[in-house]
Amino acid sequence: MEGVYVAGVGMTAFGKHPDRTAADLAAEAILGALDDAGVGVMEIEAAWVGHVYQGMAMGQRALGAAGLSGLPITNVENACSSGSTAIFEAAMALRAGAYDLVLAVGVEHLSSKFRGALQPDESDIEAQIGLTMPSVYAMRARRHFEQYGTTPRQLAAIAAKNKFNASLNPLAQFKKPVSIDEVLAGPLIAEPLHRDECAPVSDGAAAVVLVSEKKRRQLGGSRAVRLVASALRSGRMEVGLPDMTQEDLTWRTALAAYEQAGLGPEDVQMAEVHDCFSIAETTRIEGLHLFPFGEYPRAVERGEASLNGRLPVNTSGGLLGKGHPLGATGVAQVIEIVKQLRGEAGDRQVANLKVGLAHCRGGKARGVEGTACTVNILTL
Amino acid sequence: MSETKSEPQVHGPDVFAYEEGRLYLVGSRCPECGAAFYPPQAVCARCGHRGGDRLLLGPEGTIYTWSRVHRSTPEFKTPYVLVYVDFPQDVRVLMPLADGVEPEVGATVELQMQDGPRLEDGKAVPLVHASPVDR
Repeated sequence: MEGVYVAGVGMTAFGKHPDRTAADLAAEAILGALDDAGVGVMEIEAAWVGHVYQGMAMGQRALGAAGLSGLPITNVENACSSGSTAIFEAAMALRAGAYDLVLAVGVEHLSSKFRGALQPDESDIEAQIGLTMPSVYAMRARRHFEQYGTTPRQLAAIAAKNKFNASLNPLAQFKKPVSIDEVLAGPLIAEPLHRDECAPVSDGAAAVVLVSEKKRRQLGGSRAVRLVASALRSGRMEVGLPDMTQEDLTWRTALAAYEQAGLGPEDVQMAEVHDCFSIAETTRIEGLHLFPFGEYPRAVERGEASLNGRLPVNTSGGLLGKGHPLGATGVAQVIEIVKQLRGEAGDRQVANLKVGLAHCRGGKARGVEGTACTVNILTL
Repeated sequence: MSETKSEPQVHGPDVFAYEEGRLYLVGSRCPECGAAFYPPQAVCARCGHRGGDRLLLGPEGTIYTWSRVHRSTPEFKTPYVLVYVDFPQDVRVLMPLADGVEPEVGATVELQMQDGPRLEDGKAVPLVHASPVDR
């Protein structure tokens, strides 16, 4: 993908923000990203704002709170991939030459909208039988156990890894590391998944300033990180009896991104993936072909996905540790990669990184494995 | 989360049928490419052909995977067990497992009408359940 760069990033702390509004959170993230890029609020030419449950014209409310109005604003709802779809759309517009400096924002004030387990839309027939998002993934975990001999302890190791990484991230919702035994001693949400293996309800916002090659040169952007691929796909209607442990949607999206970047799975040095559940990190990583099918949980147990492992995964703490304000999640993933590539990730910094991949997907509707999926690849 | 109340269409009268005393779900098969669906698809999701032939799913299938759900939304009485059942007609369908039996991947099940985990006005909604077959 020619000439799209992340020039600035900003995000709020993720967690419960009972005294703040979604617009207020978004404004903090937007102003942070503008300051980081060294650009003024009036220089923004267009904006895309991702959210899921924040109601009509969230983008206009968010940008208005940051002092921005009158520009083209597009609200984006694409389930948990809403924020990363905002990045995809913004990047497409830059690539098309329509603009030189745009904003992609994600925001969610979930704690004021939801309690308990998320469900597919209530008109969905599987939701009417009692399918919750945790149970969708619980049933995938059961298949992973059956087919590859994966154990509950190995899945718990993923949650423990991510909560440890989160303890090193000042903006994360969870501040304390959790041991594997503590994960397994927690309450079951949907067997075999325990509470610490499920992403929490979170509020938060994240924003990135994206620029063209021309604008990057004007800004003198030595800190700009290149977005070399941005791909979006949706789930195909399933026919027959597909293998639930293998994510067709993730792989088709990844393949498009790898082709755009001229890179392959072997080039990826770190990944932020959509770990809404411990098993989800597994099926994402395997679906991206970063580990062979069936092998990832064992590799996590051996430390291969830890900060000092051969492929650090979810260095930010992931959704399990950093939190999961739905619309903000995909943008925050890209921000973590930018921070890591710029060497600004503090105590969780991974050394010598050149290539990072962000994978975001979400949603469930009957008949499809997942609704929306994005893969963004960034390089120094 | 919304106040709108939706009619439970799931496994309702339009989508099950008794044949020779045994319970089936009613799906569809594309007359063009043969792809099978539950619930019936008006347009084939594989080839785009419009319309589908009636296809009975059952009378037996096998449990592909399961979960016992402990936390749900307020309309559901927890815990309850959900299973995906693979039918020989090449379709996988989600349903609750019948009360009082232990779920097991690979177990053969038949279909049985029972009160399900979903409550409406405090009363359980009858649904097609998977019930293990003794061999």
